[in-house]
Amino acid sequence: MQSLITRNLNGILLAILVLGQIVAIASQVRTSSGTSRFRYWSSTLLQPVQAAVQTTVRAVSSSWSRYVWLVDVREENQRLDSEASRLRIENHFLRQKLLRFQSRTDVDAYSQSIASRTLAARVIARGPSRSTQELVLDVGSRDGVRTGLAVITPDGIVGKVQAVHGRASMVLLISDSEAGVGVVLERSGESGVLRGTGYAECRVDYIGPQVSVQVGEAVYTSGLDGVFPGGLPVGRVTVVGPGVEMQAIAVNPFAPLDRLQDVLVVIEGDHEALPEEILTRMQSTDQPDSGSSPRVGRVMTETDADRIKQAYRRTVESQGRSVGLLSGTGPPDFSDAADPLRASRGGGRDSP
Amino acid sequence: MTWGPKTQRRVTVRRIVWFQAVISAAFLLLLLAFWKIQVADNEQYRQLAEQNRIKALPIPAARGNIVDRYGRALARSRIAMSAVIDRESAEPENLGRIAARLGLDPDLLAERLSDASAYSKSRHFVLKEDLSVAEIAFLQAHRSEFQEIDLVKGMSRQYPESGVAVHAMGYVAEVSKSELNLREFLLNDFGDEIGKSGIERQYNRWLSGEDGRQRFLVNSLGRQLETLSLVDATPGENLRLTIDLDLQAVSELGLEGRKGAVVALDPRNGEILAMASSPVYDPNKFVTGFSSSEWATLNSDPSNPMLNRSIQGTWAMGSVFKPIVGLAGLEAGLAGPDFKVHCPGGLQFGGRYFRCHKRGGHGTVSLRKAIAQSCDVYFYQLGHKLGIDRLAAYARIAGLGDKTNVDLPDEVPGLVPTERWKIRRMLQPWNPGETIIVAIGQGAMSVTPIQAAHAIGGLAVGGVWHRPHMVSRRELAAVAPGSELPSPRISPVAREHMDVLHEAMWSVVNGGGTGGQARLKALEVCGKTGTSQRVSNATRLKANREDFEDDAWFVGYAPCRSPEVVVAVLLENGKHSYYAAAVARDVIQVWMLNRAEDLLTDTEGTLARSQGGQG
Amino acid sequence: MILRSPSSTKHWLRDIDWVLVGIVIAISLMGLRQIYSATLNTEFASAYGQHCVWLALGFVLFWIVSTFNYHHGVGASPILWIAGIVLLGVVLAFTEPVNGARRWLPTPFGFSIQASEFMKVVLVLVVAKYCSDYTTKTLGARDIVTIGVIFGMPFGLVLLQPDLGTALSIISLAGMVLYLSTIRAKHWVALCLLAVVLLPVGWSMLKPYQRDRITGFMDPDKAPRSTGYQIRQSKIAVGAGGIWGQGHVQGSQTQLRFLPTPHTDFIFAAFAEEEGFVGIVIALALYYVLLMRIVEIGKTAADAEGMLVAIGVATLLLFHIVVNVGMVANKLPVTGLPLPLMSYGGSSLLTVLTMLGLVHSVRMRRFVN
Repeated sequence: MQSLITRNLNGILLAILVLGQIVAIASQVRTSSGTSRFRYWSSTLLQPVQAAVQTTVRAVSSSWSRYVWLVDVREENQRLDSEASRLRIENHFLRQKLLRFQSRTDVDAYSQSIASRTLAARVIARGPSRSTQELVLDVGSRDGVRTGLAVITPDGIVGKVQAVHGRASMVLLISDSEAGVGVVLERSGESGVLRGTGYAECRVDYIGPQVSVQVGEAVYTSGLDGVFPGGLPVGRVTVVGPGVEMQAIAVNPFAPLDRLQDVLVVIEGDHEALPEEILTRMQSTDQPDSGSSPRVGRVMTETDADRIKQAYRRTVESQGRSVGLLSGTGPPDFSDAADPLRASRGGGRDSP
Repeated sequence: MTWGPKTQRRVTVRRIVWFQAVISAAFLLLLLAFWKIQVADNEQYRQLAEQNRIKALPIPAARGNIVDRYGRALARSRIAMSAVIDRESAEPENLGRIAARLGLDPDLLAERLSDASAYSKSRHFVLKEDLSVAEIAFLQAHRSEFQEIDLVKGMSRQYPESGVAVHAMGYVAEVSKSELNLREFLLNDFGDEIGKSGIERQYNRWLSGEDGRQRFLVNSLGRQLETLSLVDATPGENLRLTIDLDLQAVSELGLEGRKGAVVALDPRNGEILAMASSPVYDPNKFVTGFSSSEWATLNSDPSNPMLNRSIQGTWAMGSVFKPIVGLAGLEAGLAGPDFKVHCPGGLQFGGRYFRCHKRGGHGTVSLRKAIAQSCDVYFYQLGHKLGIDRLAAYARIAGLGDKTNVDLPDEVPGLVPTERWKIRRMLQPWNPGETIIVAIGQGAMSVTPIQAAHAIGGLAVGGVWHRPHMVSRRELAAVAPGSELPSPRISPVAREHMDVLHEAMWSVVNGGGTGGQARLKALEVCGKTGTSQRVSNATRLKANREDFEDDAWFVGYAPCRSPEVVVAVLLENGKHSYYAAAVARDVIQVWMLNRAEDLLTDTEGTLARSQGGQG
Repeated sequence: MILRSPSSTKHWLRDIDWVLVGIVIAISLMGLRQIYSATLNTEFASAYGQHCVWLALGFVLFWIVSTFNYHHGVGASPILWIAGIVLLGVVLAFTEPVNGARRWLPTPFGFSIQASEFMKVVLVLVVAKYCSDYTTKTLGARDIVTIGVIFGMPFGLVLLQPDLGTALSIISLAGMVLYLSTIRAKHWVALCLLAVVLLPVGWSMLKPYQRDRITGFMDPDKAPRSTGYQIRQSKIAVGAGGIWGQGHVQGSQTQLRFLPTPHTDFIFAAFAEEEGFVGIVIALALYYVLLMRIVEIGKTAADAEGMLVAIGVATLLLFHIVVNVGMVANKLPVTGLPLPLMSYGGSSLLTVLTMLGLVHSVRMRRFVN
């Protein structure tokens, strides 16, 4: 035994050292950012021993299945899955836009928007923290993913890329309490902001009490938030509650956020590429330009002052006269004008 | 291989020992560096860490509502979303995108940020108030990128859409750097919304509440983890004005499409019932923000919509001055019943011919007829007899030439010329010809519409001039404790003199005088018209320019013997005073109808109201 | 070359340097604990479990390397050196840059190799092979050229990646060799002149963005925000720690994620915040004793090769520790070198433990002659 080792010691040592170094260094782990390509395990391991055992088992089994066993089949399958997802969403875009665009120019605009490049990605983990709703995707900066990109599925939107590493990226789901999406209601075309709640359901804010909202109507992206292209499906209204300033609207997202497998990252051609006509058609008053866009909380009914002034104006106009008209034609008669206003005058009398 | 000779090994070992010394020194230095940061400067870094993890956001206070004398809203606060920026963590590369999306000027934004660090007491200031849904969607969707931005639920001012009492109300906007140095805004911080003009400014401290503050634990991504403390905002107090929205509305309808002003007040106590100025601007724009072109248009508009013509514009008073000249004549004993003047249509004086407005002349006129027919020649003569200083003295008794001290900022005093004034100002002696011009309200003399209403109103109630005000005496005691309305200026007019003037001004409206347009069937209205020239008649006719046209005045009061309302109407370039009289007539008609209605439906309420008004 | 088996199995426990092993284990566990705290509730929560695996692998490697005679490693070093140079060349020539640097050599098995780490171990062995007699004679021009080639090639290749930290660590090793050698004065002057001439030339050959990267101040893959932010947050974390620290999993800078990369490059800042100055004193004391122990092993080594291996490892470790801790203490610029034994990351950990295994091998064989 000893002599055997002694005789071949040089070779054995060399082999072991080289192998050791390769194992040592053959780490996908980058010292600077600690990002790995595929090793995002979802749970925090509390015991070092348990962790070591689990990690080793998983590492061995995953590399076994992935690199030794059926490696080609698996890759091919994955590729086809992604391709299918991409085609589905293209198909969806196509149907959506065809409905919307009639004229030739619109079709041109549409062909531009379809040029937007998407990247198929696979969900490899859920976010670790319970308070945040996050996903980890298997694509990262090496694949051209940047922060701020929209993540969608054919069913509905998913979230936004929040952090990017070399081979992975974090997606903040629309259900996270920090997330926000510009949306429009299907029936009224009214613009609102979808907010996550930290639970499965989201809510839509800033829909005034005068807007009619129905349970069951769909919600689409408005394209106003600078992240999601307009016109993508978001979810369905499940609850509508009255409110003084804005209605309480709950929305159930279309995309199955808790069991997502394949998603698409919108790499190129975001909301800007979408023609303005869509937005104008969806919601003629709501432009990204700040001047004409409706204000939150602006009550549609006028102030008392407006009501009174309009009442006098109507009275004068109904008599075919105007205030300050020369008496040759007969001055306006206000005696009946003030009648509807008595109530308002009486209202303040108790506390002059 | 082995170590070399013993000596060489010793050399090597010595070098290694030096290496050990170097290691020791390096570790000692590192330890010292940590000592400095962790132990010596610990307090400083502890605070920095606290600033990192604790975010304190302002909770904007709602501004008090402004209501009319019956509690009807003129300006109110409504829910709005505001974007606040943390000036310390603002990333320069983000600002461009934020500015573009929120429609802000990036240079201006950068300037505001640097100003904020110089002037602001807190880390956050309001970047933009009253965001649109699109802007909220954008900011909410980019929370992780724009960590310096937070959305807070604030309160925004909402003014009537149809421009009611725009100038009197004023508007709110962000406090400027120079205003921060004023005593009145000592308690304000950079980025605060303050009343910039009108009532909003005058009673700013009463209307503005106190902002609250909410402190959160946040992580580096700006996620709010838990609320540490919460101090709610204290909303501002509501303010009740003496304005009557009915009169205000009709006044404004009367000014529509014209330039001018209407002031209606109660001469018995100085309460302002209506104050309108035309043209108007949209005060809501100051809340939502002007586009640069809108701002430029507003500022370069030759009709000057920002000017409150009621208190900030001065015009020659024209014939409206004549009752005051008449009063001076009566009190001086110069305009008794036996003082009559023959009017041939003009007067040759000092080498010049002064025309009467009636070419054919009025014939022989007394004071009563001279006021009713507005005969210039009579007042040339009377004015000449009185002399400029006596005229000026009576004008000042009536409150002309001085601010009325109405409770609104930036009132102008107008001008009542005297000999002293001319010498001081022009370095020239007074010319007697100027006196007779002043006697018909022309020349150097100029007044504001509120002065006109105040002067004639005080005269009509027998020489008691109350300070005009928008906030009643009772309300003021609560709003600004310690500041009281002064007692009225009293200069009693003899009963028989008063009768002459009432009768004369009754005739103006009801006796075939110049103000026949102001006549109402159910109520006897008195008043005086005025048409003041901007340029000489010859120039006006030759130039044929809109802005050279005469200004039209009418000041009327009712009821005749015991006036309860006085209305001054000025129409800039209004050409003829009867247009002004017609506007005043409609305002008085609404006043009369409302009073009658009140009496009819609720005698008690009216009683309480009139007591409240006088109390 | 004497080929000997390791000490007889009967006495192998006696030969273990328990001080060295104990300190290495202590520092590793401190690092592991800190990685746990720094990645809890982050997307890197799995780092803790992975690091456990790397530690286990690393100690196995440590033991294997220390059981075998380091002379065999020294003997094989020329081949390893050539292999390393080839790998570095391949990395530069055939890989796409990631975040502006070519450091990773992908393999067909789905993971990547960082060739420069491999080169560090090889250089320690090469030095032992070619420079062991330099301590006994005065260096000739030929010897200096040898040193120049041994270090110059990997240095240049690593610098072109660009990876300034690693390149400088290679220079530090070369400096140590020269320091331990006897060199004629004129050669010293020549070397200094060469350095003075070559530095600006090399600098000007780089593109501006490479220069930026080389300075390490604008390294984009460190954190989404600027280096100034990193330095500031690191300083706040350290300072907020105070004397006693804020406690395990209690540091606000670390837990609320103000501190960038708190489990890799800035792990010492996270440690300083949570364990305070007391913790820093203990950690630095452990590192100090470790280095002193290694140098002592070098001094008592059986031969010059053993001495050079130990001193070389000590030099590399010292360089990494001083650069990393100095960065955390805000005394040195951000270069992105990990802290040996504490920072998360398999490459660094396995490299360091291999080197320590070599040192231990030297220790276990100190009575051979």
